[in-house]
Amino acid sequence: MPTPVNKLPFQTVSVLGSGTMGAGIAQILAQAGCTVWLYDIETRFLESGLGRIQASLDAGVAKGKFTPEAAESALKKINTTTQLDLLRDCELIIEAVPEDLALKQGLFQSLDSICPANTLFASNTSSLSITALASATKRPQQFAGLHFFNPVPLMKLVEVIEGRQTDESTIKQLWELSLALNKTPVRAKDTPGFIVNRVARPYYGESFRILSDQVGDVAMIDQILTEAGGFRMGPFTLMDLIGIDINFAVTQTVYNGYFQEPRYRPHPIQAQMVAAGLLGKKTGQGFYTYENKHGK
Amino acid sequence: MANRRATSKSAGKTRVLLVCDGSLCPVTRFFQTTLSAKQDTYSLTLFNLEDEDSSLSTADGTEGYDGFDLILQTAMPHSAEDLVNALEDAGILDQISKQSSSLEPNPLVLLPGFYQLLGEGAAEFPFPVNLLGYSPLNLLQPERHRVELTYPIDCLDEAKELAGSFFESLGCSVTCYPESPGMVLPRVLACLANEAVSALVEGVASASDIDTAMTLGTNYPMGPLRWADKIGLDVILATLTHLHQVLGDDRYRPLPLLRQKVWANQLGEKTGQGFYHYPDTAFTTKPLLL
Repeated sequence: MPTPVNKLPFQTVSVLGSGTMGAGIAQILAQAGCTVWLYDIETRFLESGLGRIQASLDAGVAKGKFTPEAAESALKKINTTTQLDLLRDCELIIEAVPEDLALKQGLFQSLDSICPANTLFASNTSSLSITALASATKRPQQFAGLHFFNPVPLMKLVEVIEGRQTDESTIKQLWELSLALNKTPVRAKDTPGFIVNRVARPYYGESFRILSDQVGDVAMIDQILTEAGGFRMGPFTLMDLIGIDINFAVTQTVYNGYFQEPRYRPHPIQAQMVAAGLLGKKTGQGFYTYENKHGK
Repeated sequence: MANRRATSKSAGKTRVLLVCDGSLCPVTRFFQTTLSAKQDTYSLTLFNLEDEDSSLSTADGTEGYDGFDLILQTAMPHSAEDLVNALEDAGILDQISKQSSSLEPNPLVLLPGFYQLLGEGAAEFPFPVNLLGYSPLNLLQPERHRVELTYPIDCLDEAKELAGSFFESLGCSVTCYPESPGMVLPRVLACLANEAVSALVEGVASASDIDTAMTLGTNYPMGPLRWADKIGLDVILATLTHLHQVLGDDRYRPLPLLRQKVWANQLGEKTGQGFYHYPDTAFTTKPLLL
């Protein structure tokens, strides 16, 4: 018996923001058969987003994951625009613009008056409050978090996040969409960091404290956690990859979201690395040194 | 002094007293298997710390012993005080004392070093010992052979070397460093578990969704709640309590749910119930000499 295919609950979906996350989300939606409207503020950002999608699809074809025809038809499903007005016929808006509360709220506020009352709004934010974002609209019941992980085509997880006022049918539709996209959804309440970014805090926080206690250097701590713990990457290698500034920002968001709960307290080493511009692979120097600036 | 220990070996073997807790946990099983496979090097005696009537059982079936070179504790989260009391009750300590009076340094003692202060642990013994802490948490899963060793500030270099070469002889790689509360992996895992418990208690997500999120979203080898069940919730609680006490930082305050689970004997795999249910736990099997 053939595996039942999860039916797509949405035919036309808009993705706001054509950066790494937005492009990835647009790609998997198009591959699943959705008509996608990719929005960004400038044409050059959209072009670069399409370039990312093209490269990712090419890589998939090269690895034999799907046919060149399938890749081409997915690409044809993606329309681009710099005009919010054109998004009025989308059934779902997924926002993936930079992590700035006012920026996101402004976009949702505009779309709230453009889109019909039944359009669902979702944010891919990794650490801002879904409830706070929803408050910018008159439809907080139809607003939820839909948090994908980088790289979107490869990572199986989606956090479906329930804001204070999100209603059950909104969660249900996003859950079904996640399944139709061949992802594994988990359900989380709107709390700082949701699940992954909150529960992972000690991996970094304790490692910093062990480091500053002079137990060993970063290489030793990474070695213990990978070779004794079985973690795929040690905390310092991982922070170099994520970006020490990004990791520090998430730590601060969760710390402040919980009103200075000591479990989430950032470490001075993080602030110092950021102040020095030593941000990890992307700058060529973080806890380790990388020969190539782009870490390749 | 360097050869003192060698002279105390019977027939050239290192006499190991393996102090377990009466269940065949993966850590006990690892030492049993690897030490039994090296019968030319090690003679192994088992002692059940939790059984008040425990007698010693040796590989060749004889009762009794004539002293030990290494006391290796796998039972967790028992303290050095528990260890000494149990050995005393069984009359073993007297024997070792007699052995020890003529020999310095005395037996090497290796015990879980992440939920107690090692100096305090060494002071429990009525005779001086060379005591190091180790973390067996890597041994809970196969192919993770890096062992952490940690030593109090007054530990002899000779003891550190002996402890290191003991683990290396079993095929482990060793990272050895001065005593640090919670050690490295246990400290990180205990705090990850506590954080996952706090998310569970707050109703952020279900236990299985939390574990799924951490394995799929950030590639952890195991979800923190499932991992805590494997380590033992009593061991996690003891580690957090130790960190909280020694470092005095509120970030280590254990979630009350952890205490409730421990009081209810829902310790994880070893009792068949923790955050998950384990109907066929292998831990009910008693350890036997192979």
